[in-house]
Amino acid sequence: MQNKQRYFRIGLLSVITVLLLIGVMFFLGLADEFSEKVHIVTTFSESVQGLTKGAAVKYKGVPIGQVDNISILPREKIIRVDMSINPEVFVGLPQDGKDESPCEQVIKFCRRERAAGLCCYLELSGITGLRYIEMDYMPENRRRLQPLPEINEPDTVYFASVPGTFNNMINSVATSLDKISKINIDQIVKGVDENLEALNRILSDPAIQQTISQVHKASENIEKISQNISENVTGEELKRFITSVNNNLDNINNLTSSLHHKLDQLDTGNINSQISGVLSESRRLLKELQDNRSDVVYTMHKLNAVLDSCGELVDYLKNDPSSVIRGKSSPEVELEQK
Amino acid sequence: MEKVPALEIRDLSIGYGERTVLRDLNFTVQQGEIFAVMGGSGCGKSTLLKHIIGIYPVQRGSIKIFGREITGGNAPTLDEIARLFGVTYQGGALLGSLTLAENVALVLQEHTNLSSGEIQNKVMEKLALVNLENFADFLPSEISGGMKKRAGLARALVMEPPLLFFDEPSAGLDPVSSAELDRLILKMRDQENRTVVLITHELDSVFAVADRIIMLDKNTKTIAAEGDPRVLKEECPCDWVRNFLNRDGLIYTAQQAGQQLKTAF
Amino acid sequence: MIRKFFESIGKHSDDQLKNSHDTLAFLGETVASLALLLKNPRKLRWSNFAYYLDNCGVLALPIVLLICFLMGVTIAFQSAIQMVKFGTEIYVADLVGFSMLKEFGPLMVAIIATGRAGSSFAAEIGSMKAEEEISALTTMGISPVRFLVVPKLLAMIIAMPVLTVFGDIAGLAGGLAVGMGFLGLTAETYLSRTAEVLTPMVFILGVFKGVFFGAMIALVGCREGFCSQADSQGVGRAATSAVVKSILCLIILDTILTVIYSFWGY
Repeated sequence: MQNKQRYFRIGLLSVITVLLLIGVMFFLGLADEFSEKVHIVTTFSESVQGLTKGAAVKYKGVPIGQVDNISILPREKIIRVDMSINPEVFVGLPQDGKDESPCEQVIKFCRRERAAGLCCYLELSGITGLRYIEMDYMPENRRRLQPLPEINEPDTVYFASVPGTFNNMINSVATSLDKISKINIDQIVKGVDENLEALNRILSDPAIQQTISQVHKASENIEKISQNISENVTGEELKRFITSVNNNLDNINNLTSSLHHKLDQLDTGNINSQISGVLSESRRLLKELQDNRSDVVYTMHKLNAVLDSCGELVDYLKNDPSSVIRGKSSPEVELEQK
Repeated sequence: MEKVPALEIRDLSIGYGERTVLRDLNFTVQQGEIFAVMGGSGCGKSTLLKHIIGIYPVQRGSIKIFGREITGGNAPTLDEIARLFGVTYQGGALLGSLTLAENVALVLQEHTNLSSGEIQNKVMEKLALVNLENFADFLPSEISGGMKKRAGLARALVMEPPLLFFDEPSAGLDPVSSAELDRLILKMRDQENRTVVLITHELDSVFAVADRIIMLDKNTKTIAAEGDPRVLKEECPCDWVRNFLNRDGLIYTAQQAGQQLKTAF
Repeated sequence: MIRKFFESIGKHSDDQLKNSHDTLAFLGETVASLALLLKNPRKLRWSNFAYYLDNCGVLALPIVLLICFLMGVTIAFQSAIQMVKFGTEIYVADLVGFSMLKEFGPLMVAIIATGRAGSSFAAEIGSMKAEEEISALTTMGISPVRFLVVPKLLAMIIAMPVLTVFGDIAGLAGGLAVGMGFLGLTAETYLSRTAEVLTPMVFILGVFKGVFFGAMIALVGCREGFCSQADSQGVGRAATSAVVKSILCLIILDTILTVIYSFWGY
């Protein structure tokens, strides 16, 4: 009884195992091993780094097959990639003959589309570094037909390859790097070295040293002068000066108006006309005086500003006397330390 | 014409690896004899048996079973072994996963081309011989120690070997079972004309069945005495053998201790 | 002191040499017994073979399924945590698929079998030795290797690949559970990704590893049983030693197989 149960269990396990084994094999693509495939081939002159056997072949992003073999054609120095594509993916292809198999239809489709610009190129698969082969239509100017190796297989369709997006990017970077590499850094460095040496020589020249000390003295003199000026002409004095001028002008104004009043009371033609002439002269004089007053104020302000600038210049020269020769120094750039 | 001895041992040294357990053993067991190998615990009785039946290689000397040298490069094939002798082990040594009938049938299945019916008949015959015909379908774990030994005997007999070895046949059995087994041993010799070699320290059994014995000495690592046990009991020149056979343990132990002291100084 | 040291080295090497000699003799006897059985299959104890197939195969199934499922879950979880950071969750299917089918499926099943079968073989033969059953077999004219080792060996060679098939599927199911529950992938996305990256050959080669692992476990377990001391402690030590040596041998064998497979491109 126990034996019978044991044999039943073993039998059951065997049946389930066989079913699972077959099921998993078909799930993982065993059926594909038996179905007929269309073989296509392309060649690359660029590196196919990341492309492996079994990598996907996609038509506009739709997986249609896989890479079967990657080999080197030593004579042409190019890489030959053999691929197989599954005809079942292509639905509704036109059937020319009655007995035409799906494979033959796909071969015809491939030949037709190749003429229309269908090309192969390498694409990166995510961030993995692995590549797959993408097939898409390329404009005439991008199509770069590889020299056709002698492929004698009648059922194999040859496709031209174009450099992939990534490859283009790499190429442009490579070109830039190439240009940079052509710059003669040694010569530039040599020039800079020479300039620095010349500058050193100039700075160590005794005449320059003398000039710098003279400039120093001159700046000290300017400072003294400006100090004197600022001591003598202060804002207070200026204000007082302007107020007194104002008062004088007001007095003159009052004088003329009272004179005018007195003259109106006198009715003598000759005197009158003479006095009128004197008065108009006086008025013109007064107006000029008025105008001059604003000019004086303006001049005084300017003078003050000039004095301030002189002060600043003197301070700057004190701190950095060599700037007289080399001009204003550029601000120092602080390097960030990580 | 004199019969070929059933077992002939010459200058035999045995042991494990480089350690010698017994040395310079010389004795002969004649056909139709019941022969007992005796000695105190740990004197190497079971070791001797294991070497005679070929479980371990001997260090030196020769063992002949019915004139067939079995040591060195002359080891018998498995098929020959099964036909030369049968062994009954201390605990029966039945295969636990098989019933008694299957245990007994196993040897026949291995070495004969008998049909299953014939095998079945033979098995039942041998089980009946040891009074276990009603326990054929029992597993060894379901029967008593004495029954296991008897089942072991049935298994040892099934190939009809002319020589039988018994390892401690009475050990762990009650007196009744032990006596029953002794009767079976006598039956083997008297009715079935087999030669029997007993490895034992049970005096009752020995006096009941054995024709001749050898006494193994733990200290000298060789045979201390050989002969009829009933004679040795009375007349053996070696004191400790006489005491052993007279079951005078105290004297024996004191004697041994004295000898050990002598050797020590 | 120095002399003692060199003596111990010499003795140890001598023991090891003797041990390897015995091991090779044991292997040779097993192969010879297998050859004999091919000639005469009736000599195999089929009921015994069925017993071990049932015990080491069918009855080990629940624990194999559970452990492999959890293994799949663990691998998927660990990888998912890292891959989510890069938005590459779908690659969890690749990782679980490849690691379960190529390595962890066969290896986990083998480790479970070592614990179950390897130790029990050693204990069984060890206790048979203690009970003098091995000696009895010899004096009955039956080769203990053929009688005791071959049924176990054949049962393990068949049971292990079978269990590996179940273990692989359980592992993939574990990955799928994480993919659906934790990463929010649909079953279809996960499975189609799995089917896309795995090939039948990867699966078959992984299952085939089970054949070697099964043979290894049976041989090491039986050998340890035959070498055990004839007492109850000795039997215990033999069982322990069988597990330890089996696992060591498994890892070494796995490394060798992986290197061989890698030469074939798998």
